[in-house]
Amino acid sequence: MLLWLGHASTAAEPNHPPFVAGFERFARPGDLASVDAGGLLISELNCVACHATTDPQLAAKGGPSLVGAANRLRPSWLTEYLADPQEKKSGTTMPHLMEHMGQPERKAAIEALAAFLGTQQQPFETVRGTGAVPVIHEFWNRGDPKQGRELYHTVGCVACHQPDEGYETSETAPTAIDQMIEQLDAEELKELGLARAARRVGSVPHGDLVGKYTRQSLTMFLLQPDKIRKGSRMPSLRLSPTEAADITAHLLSDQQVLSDQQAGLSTTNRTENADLIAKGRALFVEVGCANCHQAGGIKAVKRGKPLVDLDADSTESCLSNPTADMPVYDLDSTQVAAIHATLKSVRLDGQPSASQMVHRRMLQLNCYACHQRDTVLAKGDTAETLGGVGRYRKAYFEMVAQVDLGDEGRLPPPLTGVGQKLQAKALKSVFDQRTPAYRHHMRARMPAYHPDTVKTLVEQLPKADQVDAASEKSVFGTVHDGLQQAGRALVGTGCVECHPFGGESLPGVIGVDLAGITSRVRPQWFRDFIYEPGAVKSRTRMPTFFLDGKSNRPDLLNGDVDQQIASLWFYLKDLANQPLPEKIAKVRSQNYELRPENRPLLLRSFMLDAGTHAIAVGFPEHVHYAFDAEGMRLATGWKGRFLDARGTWFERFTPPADPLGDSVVRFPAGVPLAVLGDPDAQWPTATAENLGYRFEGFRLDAAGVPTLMYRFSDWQIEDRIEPVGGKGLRRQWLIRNVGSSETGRPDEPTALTLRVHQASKLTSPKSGIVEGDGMTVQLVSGPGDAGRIRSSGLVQQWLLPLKINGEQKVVVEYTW
Amino acid sequence: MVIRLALLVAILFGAIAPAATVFGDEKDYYRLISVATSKAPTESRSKNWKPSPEGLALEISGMTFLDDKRLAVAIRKGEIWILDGVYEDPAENVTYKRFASALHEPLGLLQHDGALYTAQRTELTRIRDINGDGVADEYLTAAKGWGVTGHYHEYAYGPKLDGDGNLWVTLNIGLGLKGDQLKRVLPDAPLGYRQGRWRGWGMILTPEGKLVPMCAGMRSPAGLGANASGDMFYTDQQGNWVATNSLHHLRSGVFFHHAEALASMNEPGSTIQGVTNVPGGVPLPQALRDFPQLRPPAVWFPYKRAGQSATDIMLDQSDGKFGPFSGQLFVGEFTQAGVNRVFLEKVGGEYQGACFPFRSGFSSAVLRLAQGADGSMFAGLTNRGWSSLGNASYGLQRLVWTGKTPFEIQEMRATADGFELLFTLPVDPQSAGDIASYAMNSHTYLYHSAYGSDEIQQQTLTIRSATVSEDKRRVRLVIDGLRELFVHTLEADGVRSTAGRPLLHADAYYTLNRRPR
Repeated sequence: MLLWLGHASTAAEPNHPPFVAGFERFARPGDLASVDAGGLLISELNCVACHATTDPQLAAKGGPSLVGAANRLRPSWLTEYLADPQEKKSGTTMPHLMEHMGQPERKAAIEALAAFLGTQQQPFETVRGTGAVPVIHEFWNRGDPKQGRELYHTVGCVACHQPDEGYETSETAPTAIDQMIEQLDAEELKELGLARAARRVGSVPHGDLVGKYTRQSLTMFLLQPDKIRKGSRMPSLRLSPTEAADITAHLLSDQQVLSDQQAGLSTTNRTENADLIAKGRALFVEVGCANCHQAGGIKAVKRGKPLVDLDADSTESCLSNPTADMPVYDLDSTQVAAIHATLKSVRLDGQPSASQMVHRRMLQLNCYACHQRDTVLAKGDTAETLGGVGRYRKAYFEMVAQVDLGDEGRLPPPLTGVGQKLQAKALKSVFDQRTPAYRHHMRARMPAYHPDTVKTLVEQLPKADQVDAASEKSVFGTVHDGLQQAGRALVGTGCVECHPFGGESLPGVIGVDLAGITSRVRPQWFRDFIYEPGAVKSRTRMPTFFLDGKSNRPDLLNGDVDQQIASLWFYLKDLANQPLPEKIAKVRSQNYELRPENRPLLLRSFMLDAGTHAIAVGFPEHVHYAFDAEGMRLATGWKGRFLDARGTWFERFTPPADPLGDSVVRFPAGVPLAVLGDPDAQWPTATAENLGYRFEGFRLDAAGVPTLMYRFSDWQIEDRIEPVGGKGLRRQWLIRNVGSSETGRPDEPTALTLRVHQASKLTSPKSGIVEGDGMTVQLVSGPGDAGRIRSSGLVQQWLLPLKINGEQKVVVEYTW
Repeated sequence: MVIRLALLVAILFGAIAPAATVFGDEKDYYRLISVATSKAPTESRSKNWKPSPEGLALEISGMTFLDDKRLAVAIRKGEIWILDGVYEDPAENVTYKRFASALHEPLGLLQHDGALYTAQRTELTRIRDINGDGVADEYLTAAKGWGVTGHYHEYAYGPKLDGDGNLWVTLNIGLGLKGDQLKRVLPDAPLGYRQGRWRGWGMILTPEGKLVPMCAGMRSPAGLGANASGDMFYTDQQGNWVATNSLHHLRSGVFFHHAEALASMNEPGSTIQGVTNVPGGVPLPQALRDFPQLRPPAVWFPYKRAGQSATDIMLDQSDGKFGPFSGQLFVGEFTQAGVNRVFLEKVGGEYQGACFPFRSGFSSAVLRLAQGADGSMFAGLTNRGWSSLGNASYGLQRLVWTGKTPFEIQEMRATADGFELLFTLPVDPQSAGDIASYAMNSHTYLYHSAYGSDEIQQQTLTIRSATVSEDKRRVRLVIDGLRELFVHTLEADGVRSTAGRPLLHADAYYTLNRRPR
């Protein structure tokens, strides 16, 4: 039951029929059901702004708000536009409301309307600058037209609007289908069902932007189009203030930078003539402006007959032979026929299906300009593919860098089955201004919309696509031991080559990051897509890993396909806590892991055990330590791999550096040396600083081994720690009595005590060797005496008394 | 008749000239040369930020010249590199040699006393190469003792050398500490503030090697620099307690903005005592009355108009090799990737003065500035963690004076009844003597714990007269309604040079803490 509108009569066609993107692209060549084609015109031409209806699908898109028109629109343009909207902006959907007036009357009316609109003052919003958003003073005058031209041609503007003829896109091979289309004639195209793809898609007209706007008003419009055009046919492309200024500079490159005064804009009323303003205000209602446009807080509107009561065959109507008080639309016969057909079926058309509702909304918002979707055009027919980036426009859809992911990587995704794919929350958030881009490889942006604008899509898409809302549990069961481990192994064969994982990836990989994927797509869709990608998304580059239903990794989970897909799901779901895929971990380690090969490597960082003044030292012998330069203590030792420095080097929020290796041992808390006075006195617990310690830095010897230096009261200490084989660490203290700077060297040196070790329990298999808390400590050399072990509170301590006149060396070895 | 014609030309020119200042012309006077700039593959604020896979992660956080040729730079990942060939144009043969490594986010670099000094997060470090192999092998702790709770915002900046031989270090305040960080705050701090010791303070390391706390109330003091008299200044960045970016004279016992720095008030050595009540939510002039230690900045940088995030301070010591601004201070701008200019004078014994836009269009956030031997300005760039204009993520650029003198307001001095402007070039007496060529308004800010402040109590002032000096370089403006402690914004759009040119930057912002008597 398709209406072939293309062959309607062409007696005296108007010069400037309104341009409605979906109508031009689909209805004119006869793709749409008559009720959809006419319905689209009814909403886009704002018919129900006068002819009331209860059908929300026919709701008028509305006209731009004219609040603030005095600050935004140049009066010279306004006057010309009102005199003949269609002449001034070919394709405008605004009707001529004053055609019936004689020249003098019209001129007077325009003068009055302009006077009234001149009172519509609303200062521009201040754009807040922050550390994240650079906003230069009067940024709207600072746009770079070159940048703007590139943005205009890449972020998505040219999906609907006309590209510049001279703009050169980066070289992209035409798709196979496009190549074929080039070779075929019209008959062949039709036969092959390619007629639709071969069509040239018309451009939504800009009109005279240079005459209409100032840099400020266009920039502010581009930043938040739905502030002014609430119908959101022009969506937000998530531009930064700078980007909006750049695009403005491009679009207005033929315009001098004008001051408001020069543009005829003012922040005070243009005329003091109150009578004229009042007349304009009255006319605003009388001629019907107020039906579509907001201004002056006017609520009153002109009413026509309700839509259901309209007689489509009337000899006098907005469609043909309008009488004096009717708007004049310049409709061509095809458009008239479409509206006719819809008006006739208005009373018959029952509750539309979810699919229809989605389809109609996509026509209105022109989602089809970018997205394909399979749609049933008439009851009983099979679904046909509509939309997608039009012919000759695809070249403007580019990928970042020079990656090649085919059309799938540069064109907006098809929306067939999207209701099946996305979880409700994720679907909703796609439209949200704050949602970051998931397809980092694409230069085009998904526009943002107000939630009210896309309510129908968010609500109806799942219904239209007969969502399978099966729960995670029913699709994948529950997570069990080894499942995520298997998932990690599985992503290593195939996934990591194209997808980043939580911002980490193999070199050169730019694709959809799989972090968070399990909170975006539905479990059943994930299962089906992984199982057989091509069945869910035709021509996808996503390869199948289960050829003929068999896994190519029979070694994992007994080759059980369902379990393997479940393992991917559960691994990705817990990605933040799981180790990275092995290949990616290896790359990360190459870039950021400190791997001492010939000499020791150091890192000063925050560490959990060694504190905020940590100095970590890694050795080629694969034994490493971290020193706390605030607590003046050897804090930890470990073996194997040393450290990943990325967090310290490049993360703003300074996460602590964790030892990568194993066999981590923690050394006792507290300072190494103390003046106990009473030999039974407790080991001091005050801070090193309060006890008189001062860290003085370190020197590296020829082999790169650091000697840490600190001062404790009268003693200057050099503390050198290095591996002893692969077994543990050897530590040498060189303690010099330098005397107090105030009193000079004392005659009799103060008794100093070195705490060699401390643990909850210490055992001593032989003299000079003590075991406790997982390590063995051996006194290699010292003052001769092996010291004593004592119990102190809940711990045992190995203390070595020292009496140092000049200097004393003490060497111990820690093995674990 | 000739004058009339000139005026007519000026008026015509004015009519078609852009309403706002044309910044694009800046490059005619100051040319940018990229020594090395790179773009990271990730967004500047990405949690998974990664440097470009090519070359060195040249996120410059400190710069000091070793001699007439070689530049040493600290980079944020914790290294010091020595660069040679940086003066070439184009800079195609720059060599890089790593001198030091394993530093904890060093945010300054100074060659001093035979060593390189840098402030790491936890200490001021003196670095030397003892064995002469060109690589540092001695990292001595020159000073430490400030609190480090582990919060990322606790940056330590410096050092810079003042006229008395002191090395200055400035310490960021922590923001919303939690978890283990709270174990490292000062116990029982006054007024209930929770901060590590000396957070939000400026400290000096004296020539005798003593670390001394000097002044307090800093939020994010990313820039330090001395003026020609050797007095030290710092810049602060808009945020809690800080109405907008600011420039302050550092000296003992004064308080700047951020109240939480008072957590260290009772520490031994503190130069601030006896604050029992911090005013909040009041206009700055009142806050200054209620809080005697609080001192207004020498210069406020009105937000967006004069930057969004002030950084390093560079004194032009080139004696004219960098253009007409010898002896003035240049202040780096992070978010807008530019540099602003500052003129200072002393009124009533205290510094105050004006800021002017100077140069925009750097490739990334300007964090560090240093003047080369030929007078050119080196800018160390890095925008990681925040955001900036420009197409690069980090690198090094050089700004060179082309030899052409821009028509600018060189100096703006307060007088008892207005301001005196000194221009870089002689003015056209007709336009410069016309009060309609000027507009002035003034505003102040709220002192409060909230993030930034609106410009409040705005007023438009009346220009009474504009008198051009005989040499046509000076204009004396008599103005009604000047208010002390208010920022006075001047727009001199109508002024033309004798050649009929408009000012390259027609706006100036004078912080009138005191009117000369």
